[in-house]
Amino acid sequence: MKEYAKENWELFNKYYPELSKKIQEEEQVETVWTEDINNGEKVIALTRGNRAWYLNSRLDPDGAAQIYSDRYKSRIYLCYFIFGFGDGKHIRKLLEKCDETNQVIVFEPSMEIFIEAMNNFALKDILMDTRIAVCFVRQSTDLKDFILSKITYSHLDLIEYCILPGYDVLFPELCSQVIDGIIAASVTIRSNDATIRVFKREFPQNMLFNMKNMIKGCNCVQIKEKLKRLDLSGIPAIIVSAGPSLDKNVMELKKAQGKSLIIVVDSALKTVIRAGIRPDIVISIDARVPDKFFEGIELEGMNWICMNQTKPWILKNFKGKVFYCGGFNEKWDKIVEEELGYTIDPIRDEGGSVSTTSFAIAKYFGFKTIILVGQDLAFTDGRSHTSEIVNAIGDNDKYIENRSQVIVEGIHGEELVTDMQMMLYKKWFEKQIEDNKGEVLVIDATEGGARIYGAEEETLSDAVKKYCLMEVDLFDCIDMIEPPLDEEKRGRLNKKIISMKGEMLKLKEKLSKTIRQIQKMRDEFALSMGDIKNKKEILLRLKSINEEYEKEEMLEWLQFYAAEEEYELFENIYKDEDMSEEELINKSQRLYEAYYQKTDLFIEDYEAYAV
Amino acid sequence: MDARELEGKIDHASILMYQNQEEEALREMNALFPYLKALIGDDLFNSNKQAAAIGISMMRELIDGYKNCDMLLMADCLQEKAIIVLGIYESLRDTVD
Repeated sequence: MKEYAKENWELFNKYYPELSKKIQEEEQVETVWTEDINNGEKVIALTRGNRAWYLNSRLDPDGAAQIYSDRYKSRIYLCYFIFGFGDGKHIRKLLEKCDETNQVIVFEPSMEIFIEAMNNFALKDILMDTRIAVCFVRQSTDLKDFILSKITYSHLDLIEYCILPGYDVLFPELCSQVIDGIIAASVTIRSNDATIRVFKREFPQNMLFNMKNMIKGCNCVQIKEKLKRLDLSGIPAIIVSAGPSLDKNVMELKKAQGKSLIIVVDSALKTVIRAGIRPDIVISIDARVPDKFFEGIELEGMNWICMNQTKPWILKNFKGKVFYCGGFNEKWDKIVEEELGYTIDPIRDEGGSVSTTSFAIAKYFGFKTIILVGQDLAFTDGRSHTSEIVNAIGDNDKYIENRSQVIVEGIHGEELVTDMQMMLYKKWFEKQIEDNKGEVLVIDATEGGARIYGAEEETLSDAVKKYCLMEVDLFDCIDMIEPPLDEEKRGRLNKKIISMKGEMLKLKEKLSKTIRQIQKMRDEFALSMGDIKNKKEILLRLKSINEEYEKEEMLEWLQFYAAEEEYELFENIYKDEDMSEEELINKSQRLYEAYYQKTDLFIEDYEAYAV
Repeated sequence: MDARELEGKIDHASILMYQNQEEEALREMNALFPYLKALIGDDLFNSNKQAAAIGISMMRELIDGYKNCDMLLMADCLQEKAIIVLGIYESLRDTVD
């Protein structure tokens, strides 16, 4: 092995151990080779059909890479998403125009090309560059998650998507997948940010309550493990949502009782209970679920699935077993998992609604047949929801009027009115059906509403006759699961909760010092005038402060409370190319002042919800 | 179009190709084809067997690259063979003049 190849692999194994493992496990399918060209240069090629494709210029590879890089502007905080690694020359040229504020995320669709590059080109500078991250597209299970780990709200308008020559033609589907992943991640970030700004204090309040509550509760991993002992191929999961069509066929669920897992979303609960049906599981995950959803019904003894944002009022008022699903934040999840002795699995891609989350959970549990009921995803017969809750969210007609409406095809081929949000959920279901073809059978037994492409359409009566064949009491099966943490472990977790107040007070003190530091820096900067060296040094000190705070775990809480201030600042702070350095320092100071002010809100909520 | 102008267009098209600006690159290549075809179809050019061979090889590569959207193949071919062909054509014309 050539000396630089050895060095490449040593560095790769060190900085990318997970990817290195994937390379060793995967079978190579592409025919890739390296050709010598003029002046001691080399170029990577691959065969596709009967044709050889060269992944760089055979005349002047460095020159071609420079020309490619000249296409893209350089600016601070820009994040380059590059489809293709090639021989590394294009990446190197792009890195030359970047500074330490930039990121370069490389999506390589062919592991074989990457291996060829590693064996034939000196890549030490690229592999050691901390601004770079590499993802092998074919081997990646969740591109959206990978992208979400690299960018935040402030990057959304600062992304440059680049495709190396030849890669879009050679790998069109994987290229589309990456673009879809970037779009999906961007939508998630915008939606999460908007949600946090809308919900403001409710988010941290609910999270504090649920962190405390989950110590004595159960979790969804336990349900999954319990269900593993059954053969789920003959047992469907039925997801009952609150669409208007639920009124038509809810009674049919009686025949499915004891022969399926009936998962009822909170908004459908009234309709289901009043029809005399007992859900096996109720799911409630939204921070602002209307109390009216639960008015006038007996809810003792239910099995609840909740998440970190479940409204505390529900759990305070209704006795029943609670199974928490998904995590809270990195620090808390790690502590809980240490006590549990196993990982709390995140529910990947929950889709953004309680119904889509129910679907994701049913899939997570291992169900191979999922029946959708009440999943109208349209304003069927001019109504937004099942009659039991249609006015729980205010006047029905006004509600529909105020939505951004679109037309979709109904299950009878008719045109139906829906809104943009339901349209997104519909597309989510359709993608899930497509992605899980052959693994999960999805039946739309709504008997109304929008057509969900890819789902098999049946009446609920027929679906029950066809798929609910085995007698199995899943309610009891789940109800018998006991909380996993003993008194000692609960005691340790409770101590961690108690320590949060002290940690926040420490952070408050630190923020106070930082604000004074930044004020001093502002004064120094103003006096620096033409002293560019001193100005640069001050900016580097500010950058260092920001980097230090990125590691502060309690800051995540303050970001909920200061969401509005962050939004106002970050809308400008990275995008405004003409922003002066003084302004940058001023804005940073204002942000830290906002965090400082919010520490008191956290302590107030901590005492109300977590003690 | 004179030689300098044509060379400029060849360079411009090559840059677009090296930069993987596919749509514009293919448009520019499509616009260049008639000029290059006229060049190699010229009797004076064809009187030189070596030049004629390079010309045919150039067109084959460009057409193959165009059909397959192979930007790098087209760019290299333009920067190498098309420039050579243009150079030969100009020198043959100068000799006649």
